[in-house]
Amino acid sequence: MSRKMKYNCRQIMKLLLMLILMTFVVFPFLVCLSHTFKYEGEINSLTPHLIPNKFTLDNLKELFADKEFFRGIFNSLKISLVTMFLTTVLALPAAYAIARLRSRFNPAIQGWIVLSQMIPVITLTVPLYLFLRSVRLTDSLQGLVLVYTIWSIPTTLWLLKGFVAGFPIELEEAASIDGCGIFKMFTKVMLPNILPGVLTAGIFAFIGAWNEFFFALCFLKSNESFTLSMKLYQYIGLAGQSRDGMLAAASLLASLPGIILFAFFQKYYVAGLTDGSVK
Amino acid sequence: MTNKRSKRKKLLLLIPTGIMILVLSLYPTLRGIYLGFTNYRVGRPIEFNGVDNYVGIYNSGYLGIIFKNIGLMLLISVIAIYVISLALALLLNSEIPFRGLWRALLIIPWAVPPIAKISMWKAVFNPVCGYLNAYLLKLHLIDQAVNWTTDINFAKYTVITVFVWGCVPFTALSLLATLQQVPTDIHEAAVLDGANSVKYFRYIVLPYLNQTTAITMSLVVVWIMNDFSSQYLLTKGGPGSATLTPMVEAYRQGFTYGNFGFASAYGNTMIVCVSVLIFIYIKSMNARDKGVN
Repeated sequence: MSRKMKYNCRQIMKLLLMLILMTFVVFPFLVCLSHTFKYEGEINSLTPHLIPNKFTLDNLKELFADKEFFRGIFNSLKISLVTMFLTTVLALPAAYAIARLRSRFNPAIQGWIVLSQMIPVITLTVPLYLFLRSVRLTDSLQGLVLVYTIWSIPTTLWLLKGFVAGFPIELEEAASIDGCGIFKMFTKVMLPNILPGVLTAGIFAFIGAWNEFFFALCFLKSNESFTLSMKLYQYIGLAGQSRDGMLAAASLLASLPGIILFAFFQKYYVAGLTDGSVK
Repeated sequence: MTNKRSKRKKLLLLIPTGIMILVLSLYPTLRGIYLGFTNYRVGRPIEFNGVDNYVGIYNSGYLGIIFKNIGLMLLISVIAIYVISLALALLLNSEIPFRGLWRALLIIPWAVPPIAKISMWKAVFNPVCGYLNAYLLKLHLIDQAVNWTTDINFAKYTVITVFVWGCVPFTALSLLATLQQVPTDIHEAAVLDGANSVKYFRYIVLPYLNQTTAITMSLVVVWIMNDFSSQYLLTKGGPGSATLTPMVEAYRQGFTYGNFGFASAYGNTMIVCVSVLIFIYIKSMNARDKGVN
């Protein structure tokens, strides 16, 4: 009895601590959710409640009426998809080479990948700006895709290298003995097996580009090329002019792809980044 | 056993890899470092000017302020992130009701775009109709509404809160992943040897987490150093220069005043600061690779 009580006590304490920590984790998101469905008058109330007194879809309607918001979504989608594709295609053979080949250059390449994750964003921003200006690609989606690809390649390489290294080399050798060329072995044997890892790396490149703000702020100038982040930035500028509800609705929508995709892929990502292999 | 021919073929794969890394990663970085030693401004030729930028930064009087700011913010954030993440990881690794739900909710701060993150926190910190003031007033913890983003006493902590919020999920999930690899028989053996749970935690669990801690914390430091939107959009580096960080100052120098040499020079000073951490990071990575092979 006493032992059971002690156990229950502990469980309650743990749950309580979890609730406190989770309040911190979830609260801002709940506020955003609540603002999305509130009238402007209630958002500005001095005694805020998370559950709206009166539900409204006005904020969402207003947002959907804004054609530029959709252009932002569309721009972000285009950029993120192309970035995901380019990064994966460029990094996959490289990851294979780094994971499987013992050569003199290997430690240097690996060292650089780790080092490059430590480089401040601003160190890359200035030369990239210079380069984009010289080829007249500032304020263009193509230019931004190039920047995002460059930015996400080291992490993608690191992740993919881990996933390739986790694939048993015996299977590769067996395929080779059976007369598989390296390309065929790669596409027919290895790729289907490490697909979750490749997908994870791609998804994180996608979300990285979808969420990115700093480069977009530095390189984009005109409304036509604004990404979703830049649209949100504009709305934040308008906040206070009774657009808080719309800003909340836009923030909520912008967050959804990340939340949904992370829910599925974070496990592989965490394992890949901190461990170099997935068990 | 792979034959020689296929090995040579595989080596060919390293060439595009090498070129790709040289062109897309190494070159822009080195050029960025070099630009920190030039007087580059838009529309002017690039001229090497040695350490002039650094003398200029030093003389501007900002250098001390911004590095003190980022140092303090890093220190508090890293400690808070570690403590909160460890607590979350331990709770999630134990028997706790609704574990799946907590785990799922934990992803939110990580997945939210930085700019949406700011819009969410703005609603919490809003001095007039924000939740934080309303709740604290109701609990009589404060007498009058606090201006969280413009009050010199609070602005730093407001920004730190946002840092911590954004970084906790990744660290917590990384620590959790490592905790789940602690073999259960170690626990049994420890209990048999008479270790209580505090001792078990101190001597077995914590050392097990060392490497993950080193890696995640180094990453967190770099992420916070690179964080721009939290300060820029919440406080604009203010009030005064209370939340000014190298990243915000570099952006202002480059993209507001067009002084790109200066901006890159700030980047270089940040590189010097993280070099120490790179050292720790590589060390732990190497130790880990050795452990695996």
